This record gives sequence, C-alpha cells and structure tokens, in this order.
Amino acid sequence: MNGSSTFLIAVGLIGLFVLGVAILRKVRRSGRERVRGGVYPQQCGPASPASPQHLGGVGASNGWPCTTLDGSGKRSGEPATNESIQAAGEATPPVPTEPTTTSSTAPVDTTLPPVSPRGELTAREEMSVAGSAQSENDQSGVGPERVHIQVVAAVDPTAVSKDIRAEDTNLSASVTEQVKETMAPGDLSAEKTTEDSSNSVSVLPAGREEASPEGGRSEVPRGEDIATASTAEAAPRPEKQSRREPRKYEGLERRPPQPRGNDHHVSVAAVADSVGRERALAIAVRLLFDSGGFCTVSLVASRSPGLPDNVTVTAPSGLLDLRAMQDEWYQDVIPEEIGQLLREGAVWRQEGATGTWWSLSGRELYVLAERPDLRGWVSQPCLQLGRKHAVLCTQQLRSAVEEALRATGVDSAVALDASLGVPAGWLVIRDVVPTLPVSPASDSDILNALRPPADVEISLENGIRLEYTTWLEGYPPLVRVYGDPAHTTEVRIDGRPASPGEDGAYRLSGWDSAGTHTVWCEGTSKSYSIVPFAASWEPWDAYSFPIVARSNRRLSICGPLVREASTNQQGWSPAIQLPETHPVILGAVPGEHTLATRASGVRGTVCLTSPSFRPVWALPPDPVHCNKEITSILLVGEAAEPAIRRDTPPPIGRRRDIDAWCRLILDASRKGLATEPDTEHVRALWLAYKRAARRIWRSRK
Amino acid sequence: MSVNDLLLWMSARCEGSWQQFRSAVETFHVEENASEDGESWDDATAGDLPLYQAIRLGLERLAHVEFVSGGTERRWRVVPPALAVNQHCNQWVGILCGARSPGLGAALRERSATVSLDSQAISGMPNRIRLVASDLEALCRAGKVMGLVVQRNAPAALLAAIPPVDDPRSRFSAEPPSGAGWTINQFSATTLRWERANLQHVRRADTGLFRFQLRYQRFHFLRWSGRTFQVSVQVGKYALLRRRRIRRLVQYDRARAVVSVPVTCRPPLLVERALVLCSGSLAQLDEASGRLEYSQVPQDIARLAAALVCQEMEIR
Repeated sequence: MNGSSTFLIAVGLIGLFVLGVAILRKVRRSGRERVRGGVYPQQCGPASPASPQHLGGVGASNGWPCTTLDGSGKRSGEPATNESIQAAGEATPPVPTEPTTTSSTAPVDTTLPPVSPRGELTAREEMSVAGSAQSENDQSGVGPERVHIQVVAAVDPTAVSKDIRAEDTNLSASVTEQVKETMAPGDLSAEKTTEDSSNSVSVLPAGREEASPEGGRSEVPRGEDIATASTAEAAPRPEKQSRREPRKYEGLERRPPQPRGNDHHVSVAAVADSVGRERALAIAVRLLFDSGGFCTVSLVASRSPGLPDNVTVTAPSGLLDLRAMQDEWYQDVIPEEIGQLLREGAVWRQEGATGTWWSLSGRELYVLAERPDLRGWVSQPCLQLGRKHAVLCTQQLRSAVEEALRATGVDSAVALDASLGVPAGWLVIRDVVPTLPVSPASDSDILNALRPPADVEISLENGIRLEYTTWLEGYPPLVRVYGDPAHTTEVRIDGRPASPGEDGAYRLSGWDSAGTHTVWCEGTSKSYSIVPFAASWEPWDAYSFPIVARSNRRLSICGPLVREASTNQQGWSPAIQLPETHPVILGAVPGEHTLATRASGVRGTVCLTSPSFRPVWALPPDPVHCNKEITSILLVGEAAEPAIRRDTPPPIGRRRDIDAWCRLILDASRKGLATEPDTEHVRALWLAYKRAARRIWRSRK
Repeated sequence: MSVNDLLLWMSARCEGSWQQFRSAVETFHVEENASEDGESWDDATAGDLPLYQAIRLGLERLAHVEFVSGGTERRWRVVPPALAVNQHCNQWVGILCGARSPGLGAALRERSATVSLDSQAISGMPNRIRLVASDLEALCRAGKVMGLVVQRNAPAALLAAIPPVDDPRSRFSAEPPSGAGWTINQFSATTLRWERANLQHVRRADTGLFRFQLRYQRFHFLRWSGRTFQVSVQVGKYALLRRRRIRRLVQYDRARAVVSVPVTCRPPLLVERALVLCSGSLAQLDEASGRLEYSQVPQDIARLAAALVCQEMEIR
C-alpha cells in the first residue's frame, strides 16, 4: 500500500471519528430536557422487570444517588405539569416559577437557569454509571469514573424525547469531561425523564430538624420540625401548592423553658394524646462529596414505621416519588431550585393519604455532620464539640458564620462554592471542628446553631425505674446535672427553676408527682415519667408433684402456698391441712366428701386437700375400725347445718357420693366417736348430720 | 438501694427474665451478704456472678419470688402477697412473703390492734415482716383484710407436698452430655466433696452423683441402680447419702430450736424453704462447726424435714 492510500485511510478514520462525536453531540442535544423533581437524570444499568433498580445512596457502588427505575426502565416522579420529555417526544415548555418573597435578606433567584444558545447541557449532568442498575445492595460498581453531573436543561419543545438507557449513559470519561465544560456554575438539580416512565426519585431520608422554642430540647420526636415563629409566607404557586406552607427556621432558641400553668407537667394520658396528633416527618439536608471534590446537596425524607416503601408526595414542584432506602429513610431527591428550597423550606404531603407529610423549615444556615446510619453529611440542629461538621450557608451569611466559627475555636476550614457543586448563592464550609463551647444568644438566633453548648449531662439516678424513663411513684429519680459549672447554673424542671439540695440533686415541688416531667439545662433536656403502682398478682403452680406416680391428683406449690391442683381448678386457694388420722372431709351438702392426701408417707406429715366445697367435718378413713378412745370427729370448718333438699330427689350420678357421705356419718355415729370440740353446740350439730344421713339412707331403701 | 427496692421493683414488674433480674441487681446496688456454697444452682445461669445467684436463692428460699427455668432461659415471677402462718411458742406468727407494694405498707400500718407488727431489717434480704397474734383466727382475718393469701401451718404444708429425695418423683430420666469439653466430678459421700471423674466413671457407676460443667453450664446426674437421672444437686447428694447409709447429718438443738446441716449438704430448696419460713430468716453459717443453722424450727417440722432428706435427726 502506498503512502497516499495510507493517508486517505487515516483521513477517513479521523473523519469517521469526528462524525461520530458530532452525532453523539447531536443525540445528547436532542435529549436535552428540563430537569425536574430532583430526580437524578440517570439510570444506572439495565432495567430489570423483577425489581426496581434502586440507585440510591446505598445501592450504587460509589454511593452516588441515582435515579431509580422500575422494571420498565421508567422513571417516576413526574409532576403533573412537568416539563419532562415525554415518551413520544413531546415536551412542554418550562413553567417559570413565580418569585417568592422570603424573609431572608438576600434576594433569591427563583428563575430557571438560562438555556445556552446551543441548547446544550448547561449544568452538571449526573451520570451514575455501572452497577447502579443493580439491586439496592449491589456494591459492584462498574464503568468508568463516576461523575455526578446535575443537568439543568431548558426544554426544547422540538426536542425528541430521549429514553435514557443504561448504555446511553455509560459515557466515557472524555465525554463527561466535555459535558463538564459546558456546565454553567450553579446549575443544579437535573432530572431526566424518559418515555412513559414512572420515575422514582432517589431520595435521601430526612434528618431531624430541631429548633426548640422552649429552650433547646436536645432531641425532638422524629419528624417534627418545631421551628417556631412566623413562617415565610410563600406566594401561592399555581396548581402545585401544598396545603401547608413551609415554615421559616428562626434559629435555636436557648431560652430556658417556662412553666405552662398549673398543669405544668403533662400526664401520661396527655402525652399519649399528643402522639396521636398529626405530625410532620422531617426532611433532612444531605451533603455528599465525590472523589473529585465536587459536592451534591440533596434532600432526604424520613420514614416512619408503617409507611410504604414507595410513596408519592405532592411537592411545590409537583409530584415526587419517594423510594425507601432504609427502614427510617427514603432515598435522596434533588429538587429543582434546591437553593431556593433551602431558604424557603418545603412541605411534601403524601398523595392520596391523610396525615403524613414532610416538612423542611427554610433557613440560611445548615449544620451538617456525619451519621452512623447515613453516608455523607446530614443536617443536625447544632455544632457539637469535638466533632467534624460541614456548614451550609448563604453567601450573605458567610462573614457572620465565619466569625461564629472562629468563636468556637475553628481556625481553619475549607469553603466550597457553586463551582464545586454547591447550590447557587450558597457556600459549604467543611472540616469544621469546634473545640470551645459558646453560650447561645437567649433569643432566637439562627447563629445559635453555630454555638455548641458545653457538655451538659442531665442524669436521672436511683429511684425505682420500671422501664426506660418511667419511675415508680414514691421512688422518683434523683435529678443531677453534670458538666461545666459555668454552664450548669440554671436548671429547670417543668419550666420552673430548681435548686440543688445537699446531695446535689435538683428538686422542687411536684417534681416527683405522677406524670411526665422535663429537666432542662443549657439547651439540654431530659424527660422522665412517674407512674403509680398498679401491679396485681395471681398464684400459680410453680412446683407440682403427683400424689403417686401416674396419678391425676397433684400437689402444687407457689411460694409458701400449697394446694391440691386436681380438684381446685376454679381458683387458687390454699389447701386445708388435716392430721393424717383424719383424712376424710365432709361438707354440709349430702355427697360432699373427699380424701385428703400428701406427697410422702412420712409419719406425722399432714394431709392436704383443696375441696370444691366448704369443709365441715374431718373423719378417720375407717370409722368402724378406729380406736374411739383416741379418735374423734373434728369440726374443721364453719358449723353449718346439713343442707338437705326434701323436694326433689338427688341426681342419679351423685348417688354414690351421697351413699358414701351417709355411710361415713352413720359409721362414725355407730362407733360412738366423740366430736372435737366436744361442746353441746357441736354435738347437736353432729346429731343433725346423723339424722339427715339416716333419713336419706332409709329413703333409699 | 437494697434488696427491699429490688423486691419492690420485681413486685411492680410482676415477672421478667434472668437478664432483667441481673440488671436490676446491678441497678439497685445490691450487695452480697449471704454465704453461698456455690453449688445450689445448676443450669445455664451457673456461670453468672455469685451475687446474682445469692440474691436469687435468697428470694426463693424466703418464698418471695419463684425462678423457673424454660430450657436455657430462666425467668422469674413474683409470688402474690401471702402470709405464712406457723406457731411459735404460744403465739401465732405470720411471715409476709411475696410481692410488696406501697399500699401493702399502708395496710400493715392500719392493721387490727389485735395483731402486732414486727419488721426487721436484715442484711442481704428484704425486711422480715411478721404479724404476731395470740389467736390464729384473728391473725388470719387480719391477713385477709390486707389482701394476703393466708397459708396456715405453712412449713408443715410445704413438707407435706414434697416427695422424699429417694422418690422417683424427685428425679427424671436423662442422659448426660457426652461431648468434649465437659468437666466431670463425682460426689464423695465419705468426704462430702467433689472429686475428679470422667465419662467412664459415669457409665460404670451403679450409684453415684456426677457433676458436669462446661463454661457457664452445670448439670447434675444421679446414677441410681444403673440408670441415669437428672436431679438437683441437693436431692442428688441426699439420695446418694441415703444409699450409702449415711444418715446422721441433720442435727437438732432442742434448747435453741435450731436445725443444722453441713454447709456442703444444704437441703433441697423446698425443704429449706419450709425451714426458713419457721423464722422468716435465712440460714446462718456457724463457721466454727461449718454447719448451716435454721432457727425457730419446731421439733416436728425438723423431723419431717430430716425424713424427707432420708436422714435420721440427731437431737441434742
């Protein structure tokens, strides 16, 4: 082959290459969509009909959140009026959001990011390649370098819908670099929707939000955002407005709690009632860093027991699909204009159900820290001494934040801006490790979140604790507070100042009464309940021995109590004891008789029985052949007259018992046994039994 | 904190697991006091701290709580408030057993004038509370008014419900473990001590008591006429002593009304409970003689107890 041929071949190859790149670019350009609803734009592997591809923070091998797809490869989470690319290629133009008024000092850019003239991707496009299409637990990431690129793309009405499939998103590194170069800083939250997709949104479960209007409860019930004060009244958004408006976070209020009137302590019933009221679940903010130093800010919805794995919620931006990541969290979601959402807050309500809603109170400052149950950095109420944090704040608040951090002993921290993925207008300060406690401002101050409290520990000691935080009335816990004395000067119980006694325990009137009480000190609080004694007990057969082997009659023991278990089945009553010489028991009703027994033949051991009738007399087993000099008829119960019914004959089934009853009495009488006690009254009573037995005996003949 | 608080907690809880009991012992800072020969427990909890075992056995012997074993799990359940009545000298004495509550305390203070109250703090056990009356019926009525279940002649009733140690009802057939790792000891009726043994000894023995230990487990097996039974250690010892015709271990001091046994031959739990309920106090160790002493025991009760453990009581 000559040189010219070689040259032509090389040119041809180059041309093919260029053509291929151009085609690819065009394909991507035509697939340009408006990203909505916080869905990561991307699928992460071949769709499996068997199971959705959970691409959330747990599933993807590198942990990058990703769009979850159902078996058909669809993505869910399209809002009703969203502008996502439809399967047939229809695309609706984006609906510009109305600017909303907030209480923040800085204007909030609520407009959509502009579309570049070329219509190319103007923001980071997230591509989670490899492995993310697998099951949630699949950790085997494959594919090229992972790059999270969030796509914000203006929707081109003429664009053809793009069904993003795994192979399409499995871009090479070079292509991803090109995409990066086209991104405009600050563009966020991309979402790609595909044809007939029922997208599910990768969300991160929400962390807890905490703001105590009563002085900094250290921990609020899960899902409750208790930020107080007026909430930002966002202008109503057409057709997408949630019923509830997101509240505005006003900072941790470190004022000590005040008493709530006479019923300053909440009864157990009241506590139970409050639990039944509708409560918001929390939406946490999560920050994830990738290997390249870029970061992603997302929202994570919490999940309470009973909520399904997949939930559709109504958000200001439309419908969102939340897919479970853990028992307590749903997967990440990156909403559109997350920067604005962080300022203004968000309210999501479960579609088609009542009572379940999620809330994020808007603010300009978030404190984030690592959690044992979630990757990355998740929002928490306040800085903690000695712990590494990240702080997410608006640009306007930067100087105040940095000053506050310096007061906590933070001398070096790294600040990230939108060029590294931070939402526009926001700033991430990482590697924040406070070492000095700072007294909080008494009023609501957003910067109180940057004032870590001294290590104050409220300890509930001694008393008789029944379970967890419940003590027995009359035996309350001793309330002691440990920590820096400079920060433990004020202790309140149920909102009222308490003073320590000589033993160092804090008390005041009513602190040990039945009900629920709360101890507060320097923003730390702990509750305890006191309940009255309400136990009841019943005897049972702790030990049981048969009278003889393979006998149905048993003697049972419970503590000091003994009973014959076979006969006394109605209740547990102690057995009566009889001398071994008089094991036969007679009752007042003809036929009532039984033989007492014992577990051993040791001489002198008493006989036991638990008769089903009221015993009256005890007789020897064989009155006719006993020694009447030393044997007598014992009165062992109440001196009851014989109960004979003259009107109706006894049932046939009891005839044998009646005959035995009569025979025992008549034999004892015939023998001439004396009664014991040998009094006139007892003798007369025995005579009555004798006459009754005789009458019955004769009537049988 | 003390065993009184522990009993009150157990009364409020009514029942629970062994783990909960151990935690409660720790929580209430109960201190060990009673001497324990370390052989009175044989189950999966044998490896637990002696403190837990001592407290548990004390509560059982005093008839406050029953500990039942369900396989490898042991649970406890508090006995209902009961009055164990027996006669002492010319008085009728009711010993308060079982659950205690603040309301019961108030009822005790408001008792009838014909019944006197004797409450005594004793280290290592809940306060001994006794009701004393000269008339049995008055005592029983007072107990019922307070909501107590009254057991007349409680020691005698208990002894009447217990089979002797050599009775088949005191043992059940079982095969000892044959796996590796078990430490085997054989009880010597002569020295009243445990001696090393192995599985061959167990199989060859016609009569003998063997202890199998593995980490936290301890079981006792009685070889009886060539057959193997699982027994409690006390029942096994006295059954073996009976077979070896060693029958002079139980002594009775008539003047002091005290029954004593060698510390290594503590009576079976229920027999011991009957002896304890005579006075309401646990046995005391006489270190000089090395014997456990039970006080305020009537002679007939002592004799019955000796007969149940197949011993002839030596009266002094």
